Amino acid sequence: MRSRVRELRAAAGLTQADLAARAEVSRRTIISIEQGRFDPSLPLAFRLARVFGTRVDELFIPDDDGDRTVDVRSDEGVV
Amino acid sequence: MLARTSRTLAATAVILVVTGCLLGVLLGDDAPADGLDGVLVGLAVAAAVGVHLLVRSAAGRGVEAATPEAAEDSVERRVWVTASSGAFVDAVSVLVLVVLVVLVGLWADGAWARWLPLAGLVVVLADLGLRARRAWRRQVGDGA
Repeated sequence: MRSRVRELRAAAGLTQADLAARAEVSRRTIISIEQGRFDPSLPLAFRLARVFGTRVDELFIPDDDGDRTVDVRSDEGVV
Repeated sequence: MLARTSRTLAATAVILVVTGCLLGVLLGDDAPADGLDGVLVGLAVAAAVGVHLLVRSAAGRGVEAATPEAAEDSVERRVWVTASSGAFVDAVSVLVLVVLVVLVGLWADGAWARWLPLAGLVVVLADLGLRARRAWRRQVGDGA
C-alpha cells in the first residue's frame, strides 16, 4: 500500500517524532509506514488522517486498485 | 494504590497455595513425580501459577507497558503479535510431542526424558526468536 504520509508530514512541517506523538505510536511505526513496510490498522489510519486534516483514502492508496472507486450503493459493488 | 496491589497479590498467593495444597491432597501420591508427595506437587503447581501471574501483572504495570512501542497500533506490537501467533502453533506441537515422548520415556524408565522438556523449551524460544526477527526485518527493516 502506498501512502502520502511522508509528503503530508513534510508539508505540515512535522518531524517523525511529532507525528508519532500525535498519533500515539512509536516513531519507528511512522518510519515503517513511510517506507511502505507497515500497513497501519484502521484506527491508526484514521488518527493519521485526522492529524493531516484529510481522508483515509486520500492518505493511503492500495497498490492493486488505486484507480477504482467502490460504490456501496451499486448492486455490482464496483463501478 | 501500591498497598491495594500488595493486598491483592498476597490474597491471590494464599489462595493459589491453598488451592494447590488441596489439589495435591486430593490427587494423593503421584507416581510419575518420582516420590514427590501430592501436597508438594500441588504446591509446585500453585507456585508456578503464582509466578506466572506475578510476571504477567508486572509486565502489564511496568513502565514499558506505557511506552509508545507497546501501543496497540505500533509496529513493535505488530511484530510481536505476528511472531507469537506463528510460534504458538509450533509451541503446542512441541508440547504435545514432549508429553508423548516423556510418557513413553517414563514407561521405559528413560533418564533422558527429564531433559526433553528443557529441550522443547529451547526449541520454542528459538522458534519465537527467529519468527520475531523475520517479522521485524519485513515490517521494520534492518536499518530502522
